[in-house]
Amino acid sequence: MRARFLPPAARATAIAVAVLFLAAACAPRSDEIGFIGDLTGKQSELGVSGRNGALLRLEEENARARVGGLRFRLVAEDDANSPDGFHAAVQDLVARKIGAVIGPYTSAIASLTAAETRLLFLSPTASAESLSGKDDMLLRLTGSSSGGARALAAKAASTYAARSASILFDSTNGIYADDFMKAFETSFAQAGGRVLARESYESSAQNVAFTPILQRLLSAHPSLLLVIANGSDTALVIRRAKQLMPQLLTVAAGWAATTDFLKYGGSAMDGTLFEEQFDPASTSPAYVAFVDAYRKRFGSAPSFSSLYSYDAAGILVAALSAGAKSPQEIKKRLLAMPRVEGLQSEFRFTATGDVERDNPIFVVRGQGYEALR
Amino acid sequence: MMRPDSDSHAAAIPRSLRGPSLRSYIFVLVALAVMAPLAVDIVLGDLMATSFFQSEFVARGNAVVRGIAESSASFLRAAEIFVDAVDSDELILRDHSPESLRAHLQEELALNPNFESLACIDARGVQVASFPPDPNADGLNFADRDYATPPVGRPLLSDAAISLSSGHPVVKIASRLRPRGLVTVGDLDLSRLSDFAAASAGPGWTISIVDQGGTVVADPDIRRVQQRVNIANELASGPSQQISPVSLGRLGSDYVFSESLPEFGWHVLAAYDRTAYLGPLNRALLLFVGSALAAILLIGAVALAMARRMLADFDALGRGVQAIRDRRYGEVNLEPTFDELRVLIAEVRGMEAAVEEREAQLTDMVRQRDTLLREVHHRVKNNMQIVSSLLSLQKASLKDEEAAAALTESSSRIQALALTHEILYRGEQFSRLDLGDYLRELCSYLFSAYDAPAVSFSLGGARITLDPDRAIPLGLIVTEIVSNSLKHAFRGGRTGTVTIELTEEGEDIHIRVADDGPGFAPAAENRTLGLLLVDTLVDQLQGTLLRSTEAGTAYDIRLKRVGPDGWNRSARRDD
Repeated sequence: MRARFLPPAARATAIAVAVLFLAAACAPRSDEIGFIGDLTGKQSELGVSGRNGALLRLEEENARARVGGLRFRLVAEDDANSPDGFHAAVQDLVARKIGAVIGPYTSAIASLTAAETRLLFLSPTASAESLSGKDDMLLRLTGSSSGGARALAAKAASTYAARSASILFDSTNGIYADDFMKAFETSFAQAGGRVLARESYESSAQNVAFTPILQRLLSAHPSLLLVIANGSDTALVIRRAKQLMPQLLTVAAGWAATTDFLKYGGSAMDGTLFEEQFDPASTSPAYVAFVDAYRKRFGSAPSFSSLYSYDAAGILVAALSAGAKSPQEIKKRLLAMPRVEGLQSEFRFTATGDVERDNPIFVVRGQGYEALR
Repeated sequence: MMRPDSDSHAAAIPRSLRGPSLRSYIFVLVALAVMAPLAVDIVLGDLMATSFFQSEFVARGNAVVRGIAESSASFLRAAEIFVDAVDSDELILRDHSPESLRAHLQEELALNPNFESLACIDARGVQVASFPPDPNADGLNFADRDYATPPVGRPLLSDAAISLSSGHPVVKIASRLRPRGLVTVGDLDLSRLSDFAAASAGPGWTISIVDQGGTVVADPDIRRVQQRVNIANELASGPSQQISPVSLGRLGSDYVFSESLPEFGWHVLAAYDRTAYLGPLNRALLLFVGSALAAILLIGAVALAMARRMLADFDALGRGVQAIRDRRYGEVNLEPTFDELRVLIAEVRGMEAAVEEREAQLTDMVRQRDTLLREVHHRVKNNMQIVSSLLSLQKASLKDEEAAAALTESSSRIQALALTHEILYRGEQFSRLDLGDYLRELCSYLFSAYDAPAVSFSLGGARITLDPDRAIPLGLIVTEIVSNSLKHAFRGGRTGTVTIELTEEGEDIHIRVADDGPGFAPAAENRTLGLLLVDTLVDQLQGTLLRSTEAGTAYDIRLKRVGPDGWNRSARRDD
């Protein structure tokens, strides 16, 4: 009788081996999500706070994962805000067979993704109008900033009676600055305003001196100064501008709304107008919980970059958990999502991977943001 | 060669009597012999690692991290003292113009390469001078920044940040030695702190310093500092995410020791690669476990081989015992390996010889009994034949035909009884006889006695055996019926056939005795002694009798069958 071939002890051993196999099968599986952003240097706050937001979301998702479930790891690459850095980061992530990337964070670097099909890029912050409507591998969580630029111009002209403006922009993120500037100027002109002067600088250059640039821009006594730059540069520029011309209305692009802006700007930032697509003054429980968790984890306040990176990580976790592997599969799955539950609002991707959001205007008051209705 | 069929032995044992098999025990023992020493090895190895090596390692790690913490604190104190010194020098400067201050800062900075810049902030919070010159910050009011208003006489250490002028990770150390005096702020280059910490540690150690929020401020991989990597979650215990000191923790693949720098709110982490630490220990363990494993496998192989031989001996013994059961002797001829089995087999052989001898004795006794029985049956038969012969002689002297016929019938009846005994002593068995053979011989005698050459005889049907106690009444019944047929059915040389048919009908036995003569009137039948005898004997056998006189005469006798080999077994037990 063959059934007697295995004595009871052997059967018990076989069962034990099977249990061990089952236990091995229940061991956590892991998947990697890429990250590309500027993590070093003066402009790194956007990338660092974005990385921290994504990291927080993955840590939360991993903590919630059931036994044997998929765990996620963030593979962060520093693009140093340069094309070379971006291409090197892409090479590294492709070599690791990663399918989806959170980033890039600036529109200038995001524009480099047009020629890249080996990765799916989900940019939390790139918002230049020129990136919209393109069927490429770049999906974005931030709507076009041009709407915000137009709203800013209209608000400055109507509420603050600004009639003349000077503009300072960072040409290293030229695509963003150009789109923003064009939208602002068009709207400002429609409201009866006039741009008196424009100056650019390169944030990547050493020893850029803002004082002479500002002296030139303010020499015509504009009603307002528009700064299109990163948070820390915007803070220094506005500090200096307020010193040179205390009654000046200062206006900043949403790009600057990082923690650096308030940290380095201090009380000199009071009265500065902002366009922003998220509500930094939100008191919704989900957002408050996120801010608390972020502060607890990283010891500082989150920025809009943290918020959208947090959402981006959640979206990619959902797609990868559903079995999407290749960049094309991930893109298809993201575009097929009927509604995406963001931390502050629901949204959906357009057919070309863009999103549409409102552009509320905020004013800085007492180291905080206040919405303007 | 057939494989020993141990399963058939097991199957031969009633389930209620079965216990664990020897195979199971051997399997478990061999498994234990292999696994237990391995487990002991591993546990011992772990105990050795934890008890002997780890305590020494923990002591060493704690000493290392304490030493690094002390030297790091000294480094930071020296930096504070330097900023204090720069600030105190301003007291003796006569000229506090931006140019003069910048020149002074330049001279001081040249003395301490750990700082990448120095700046002076006046009592209003305005940065009046810096070196290297920072035109974007000079002249701005930083009163809202904590480093612009440090407490008097106590240097202030800010959180790690990225320098807006250089883009490098720095901490600001600010000093003010007198109220409303100038504040000196130095940007301490964190890459220098990383280099210092790394140089303070011995080979194999990786030193990191984290600020109170868990952000890395010094690390051999300067990118972790530049990118402001935060490892609070990896170091924290509990939901508060506050960093707790660890004497021996795990961070990735490292053993980590930590020590706080209370006056700065920072923590020093000293990590040692587990692989490097455990390498020698693992190699020793591997050698230990490997040699133990080899020895265990060797022992296991020998044990298995011995077990196989022992099991083969058991199987052969089982086959030998089966042969004894089947009365095949001399087949327990194995030569077992172990003495204990040899003793057992010697006992089995002794038992085999005793069984064989006892069987021979019993066979002899049975043979003697058979001879005696055969002799008894022979004598009974002879006596009956003598009686029958006497009746025949008596008949010859009689004139009366009716009396002569009566003697003939009696003689036939005695002859039927004698024939039973003759068949029994001629046969091999005394307890059973073949009914067909018996009736055939009986009828042969009757046909001869009644001189009926014109009548043929036929007997057919099933083969039925029965014991002599039933055969004798049945023989008398058949004798009466056949005698009647020969006397009355075939008078005057009439030809015909007497037929006997034996049939098994379920639980019944059916004996049909028939002739194809003219039959007889039912009224006449009861007057003959023979037919009366038939009825009496059928009743005695608890059977039924059915007569038919259409187309000759037929008697259908049905007897209840009790068992497969006979009928009315309960009556036989009464014998």
